[in-house]
Amino acid sequence: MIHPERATALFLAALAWNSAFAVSLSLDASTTWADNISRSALAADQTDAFFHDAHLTASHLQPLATGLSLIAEASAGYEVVPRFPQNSAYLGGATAALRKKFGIGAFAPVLVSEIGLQRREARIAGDNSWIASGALRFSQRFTDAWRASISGDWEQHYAAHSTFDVRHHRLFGTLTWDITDRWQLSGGHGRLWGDFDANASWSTWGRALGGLISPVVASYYNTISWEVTNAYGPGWVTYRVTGHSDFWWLELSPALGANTSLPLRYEGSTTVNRAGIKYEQYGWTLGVLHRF
Amino acid sequence: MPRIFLHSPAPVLACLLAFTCHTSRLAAGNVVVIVKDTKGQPVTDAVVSLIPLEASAPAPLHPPVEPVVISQHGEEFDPYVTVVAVGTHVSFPNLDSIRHQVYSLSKTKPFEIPLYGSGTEQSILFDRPGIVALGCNIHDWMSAYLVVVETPHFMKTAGDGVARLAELPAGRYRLDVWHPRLAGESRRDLVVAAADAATQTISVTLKPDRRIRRAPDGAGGGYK
Repeated sequence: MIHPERATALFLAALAWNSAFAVSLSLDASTTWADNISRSALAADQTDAFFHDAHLTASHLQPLATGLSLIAEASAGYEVVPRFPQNSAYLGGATAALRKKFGIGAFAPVLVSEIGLQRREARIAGDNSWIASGALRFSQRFTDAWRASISGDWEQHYAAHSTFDVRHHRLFGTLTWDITDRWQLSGGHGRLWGDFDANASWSTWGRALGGLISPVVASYYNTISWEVTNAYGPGWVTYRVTGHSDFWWLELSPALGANTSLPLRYEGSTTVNRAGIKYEQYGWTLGVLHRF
Repeated sequence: MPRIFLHSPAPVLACLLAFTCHTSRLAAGNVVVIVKDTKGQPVTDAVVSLIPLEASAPAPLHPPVEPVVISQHGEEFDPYVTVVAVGTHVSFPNLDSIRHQVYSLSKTKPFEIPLYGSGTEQSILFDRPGIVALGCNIHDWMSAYLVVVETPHFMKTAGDGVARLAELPAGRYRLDVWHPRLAGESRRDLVVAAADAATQTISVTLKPDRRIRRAPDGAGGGYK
């Protein structure tokens, strides 16, 4: 378990490291109003709540050769849902990325390949996990104001309980418009395939297993991993399903100087699992990104 | 017949030299150029140059012996705009702890300085007139401009939008004004009279600042 004192010590160590080496420290903090944070299909179970998170990242960019750079990052963070504190978690980990620029200048296309390993310490014991990830991102600037990127990433959770052993991959595109030197508008659209966790109240879960929702659902839900986590209330169940999710977002980000931005994001997703159970989620996020 | 006795030629030569310098100074004029935008606000970093139109031979440029410096500090170029005469060497010292890769893709002087760290410094000769847009291949937001002029009479406007050009030989000139955000071109002819101090006020239209944004980008959204 990562404790606040340890996080503070980590922060101070990172500051010291920052002054000693070419390390850039950044803070990413945000508050999200999440509609259907519980990821529930049944309207009666759908629960809305605020979600807060903050991450401190130390990164080092090391140019290796012309057009090739290594970006090493270490980060630590905390996520909390005040209304449902069971869902709080500490996160810490590291990533290494190779950034290849094909040519010289701001308009040269860039390919970034990244691998990462994170530790998640959650209030729900079964959710304590190691998370391995990999990503490939191709980006191209078209003008001083417009750029686009296509990303593919993969994530595997090695959790304490199989319910949280999710594995998925995503493919998405992002378009960014720097309206002025201060205002930026960006949007993205993509799809996730693989496993994800969803939640249901005990009564809904009982009906699903008993075939009262549909025989297809009962047949599928009786084969998957699930456990009582009390994540969104007494008796609530978290279960792992396979399916896909289509997601999109739109983000307006004013810059407050060269090192700070204040992104406001609206996002949504539609998720369907193998049994045809579908739910939607929407969220507003206000964040602050600051490079020290 | 009166006789003039010259005990030594030195006093006469000194008088002749003093007279020559005095008349030369009398034949020189000064021009103060005030550059403003369409809202009447002073424009900083505008390059003002005066090209003689009547000289039978090109004016000698006298590039400095020591290189002009454009440094990289805090992952930015400093200064943002520099003006030099043709034949000037410019050095690009890296004052950051991270390595930089300075380049230009401009036709005036395409070049690339391979990755280099602090304490390393290379200078480049700029031997053709024109605009040189500078960048860093590691940090895309870093940009700067070097204006190479073929005249010894040039200056960059300060924060008050004023450039003072002194000791100009009397005659006709073309006054050029350049700025990274200038829409179109700004030039006019003017006559500099001996012992004159003329003021030229120039209004320019500036395009929006299209520098690449440095502020951090968000990670975007997406189901996880």
